[in-house]
Amino acid sequence: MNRLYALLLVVIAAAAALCVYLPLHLLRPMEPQTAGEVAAAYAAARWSPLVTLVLLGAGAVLLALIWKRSSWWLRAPAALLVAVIAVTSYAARLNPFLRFFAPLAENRFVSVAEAGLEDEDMVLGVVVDGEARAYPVGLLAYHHVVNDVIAGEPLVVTY
Amino acid sequence: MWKAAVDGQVLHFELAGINNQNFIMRDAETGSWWQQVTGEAIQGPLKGRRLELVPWDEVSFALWRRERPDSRVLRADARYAEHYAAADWDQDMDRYPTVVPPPPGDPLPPRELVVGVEIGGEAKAYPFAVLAERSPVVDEIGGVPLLVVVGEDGKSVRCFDRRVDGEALDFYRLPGLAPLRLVDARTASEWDFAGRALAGPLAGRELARVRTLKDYWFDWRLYHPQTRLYAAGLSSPGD
Repeated sequence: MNRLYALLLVVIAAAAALCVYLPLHLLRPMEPQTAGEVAAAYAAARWSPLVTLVLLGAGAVLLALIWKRSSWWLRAPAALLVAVIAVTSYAARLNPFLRFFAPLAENRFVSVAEAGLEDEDMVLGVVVDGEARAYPVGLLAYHHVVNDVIAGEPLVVTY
Repeated sequence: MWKAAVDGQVLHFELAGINNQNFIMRDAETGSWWQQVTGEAIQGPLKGRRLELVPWDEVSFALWRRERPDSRVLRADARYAEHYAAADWDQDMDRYPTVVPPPPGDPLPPRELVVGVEIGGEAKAYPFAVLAERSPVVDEIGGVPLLVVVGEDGKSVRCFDRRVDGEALDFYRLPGLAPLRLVDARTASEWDFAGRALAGPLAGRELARVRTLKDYWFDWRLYHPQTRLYAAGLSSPGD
């Protein structure tokens, strides 16, 4: 029975890891994506927080069963596997893309004199209700997304 | 650039992934995934919805500062200074291959910069190199007579509906002048890069802006498969 529990634990840990890894694998920047792959990546990202949590619970139960009936030979790897599932459960709640491209913590605006830009730097300029704002393309190329509000109008600025 | 709301609900976005080298963003309120270049939700509860586009001006800082000296500018975060792109980064991207293979007989290299215009379902791409050489370009898309003009900085591109009182005007550049000055063939009025007539019989009139997208050819073609290509008077695919 212990072997069965251990095998189940391995399968569960693999499933949890796969769940979290799948979106990263499907959405690699230097590979093409099909619509089906994007859908699969979305589903994995959408459900992995819940799925990994459920798998963690199952893993904990299996660990308890193994713990009672075996020695350290099995207890230690079993505990390690459950730790792995716990890590995936945490990772499922993170957005890895934000590690590569951190979002702007807050939007600070300065006058054109203080902007510190060169003449040839490109900007995305917008005017809402007479209020003019410029978003340097160099910033947008890194942060990718800026949420802003101009004259009461919520906007999302991307490049 | 879009209004960050759907059905009155304000949405907050973050980067969520990449799809054929155009990025995906996710809204925190519903978790839906949105394609950056189209503003359309491709997955999640809001799938199929489109964000309302807000017209923007992609211009050099020199030009923007001259036209809008009172503008506020988003400040860089010093912590990420090393990551911020230099002025010509989009040309540097030439080094990176595209993931969607180009079709045989593709008229442009995949990472050729183009200015894309879409009117009434008809799309056309103007290679930036051709525009730089031939500006101001007079053309027509979807029944709308257009003027595509490159600023004196050689980098900013704007597109206008070139009709005044229902009549389409032809434009020429006054050579050697900076800031840019155009003259129309009918009245010889003088126009600036903001599409405003400064002098002459049409002084005070303003041309309507037409939205453009500066993009890589491969990306523009992916989302506008039937696009035509401006080839400086030669017949283009789809003609």
